[in-house]
Amino acid sequence: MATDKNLVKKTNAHLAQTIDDRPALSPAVDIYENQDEYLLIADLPAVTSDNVKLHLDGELLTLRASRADEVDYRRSFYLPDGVDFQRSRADLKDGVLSISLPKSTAAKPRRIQVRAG
Amino acid sequence: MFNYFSDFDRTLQAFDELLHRLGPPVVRGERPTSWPRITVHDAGERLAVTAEIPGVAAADLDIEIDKGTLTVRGKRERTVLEGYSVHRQERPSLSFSRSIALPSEVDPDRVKATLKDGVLRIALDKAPTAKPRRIAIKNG
Repeated sequence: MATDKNLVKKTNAHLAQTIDDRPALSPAVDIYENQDEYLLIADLPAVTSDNVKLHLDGELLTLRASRADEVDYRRSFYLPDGVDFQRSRADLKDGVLSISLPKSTAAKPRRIQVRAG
Repeated sequence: MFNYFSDFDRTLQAFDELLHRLGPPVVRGERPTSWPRITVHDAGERLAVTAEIPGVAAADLDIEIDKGTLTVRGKRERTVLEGYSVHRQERPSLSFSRSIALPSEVDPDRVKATLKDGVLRIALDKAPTAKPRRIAIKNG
């Protein structure tokens, strides 16, 4: 089961990013969950959709965005188990990014058919 | 190298972690209170003011110039998501009003405001007396 801890846990991996990259702002985010998906909403003023990158490395989701005035945004999140990243969708409107992260159907219980031997 | 942003980020992170350890599952209000972020740029002939207001509709904005003061008012309301539980809410939902003393006199009839990608840009023409003037040098 997903807990809040899984979603917002931060580790030293996050600190390491500030060394290899340009300084970046951490965008304000809202995170919601229902039975079908996680919903991540981030404030990214002045960012256009071609300047947003979402990268998944293991269970670490990193959001990067850059603006024309050289300001960067960056933030990482640990995804809980059972997120189907392939089916995720992102939508940017008026400087607000919404990312839908659907829960995978594989994570839901399945019935196994027993064949007669 | 001293790095303002990463130091600040680290402080925020430490704070974040502390809050998390103490934490109720919903964390609110850890952002700076002076929202939105406003920049005033003097471009010689004119002033350029930008306000970062992601998610604010033009209809919810009110801009006013009174003498040397520019005031931007507006509100941003959180969309209520039915059937969702909340893990984290950092994005402010608020009414805001910010006033700025303009660094020079402007022509109130020649002000343009545009809203795009969550950024409000206000271009203000300086009053003729406030514009920079080139001084010619006479041969002595």
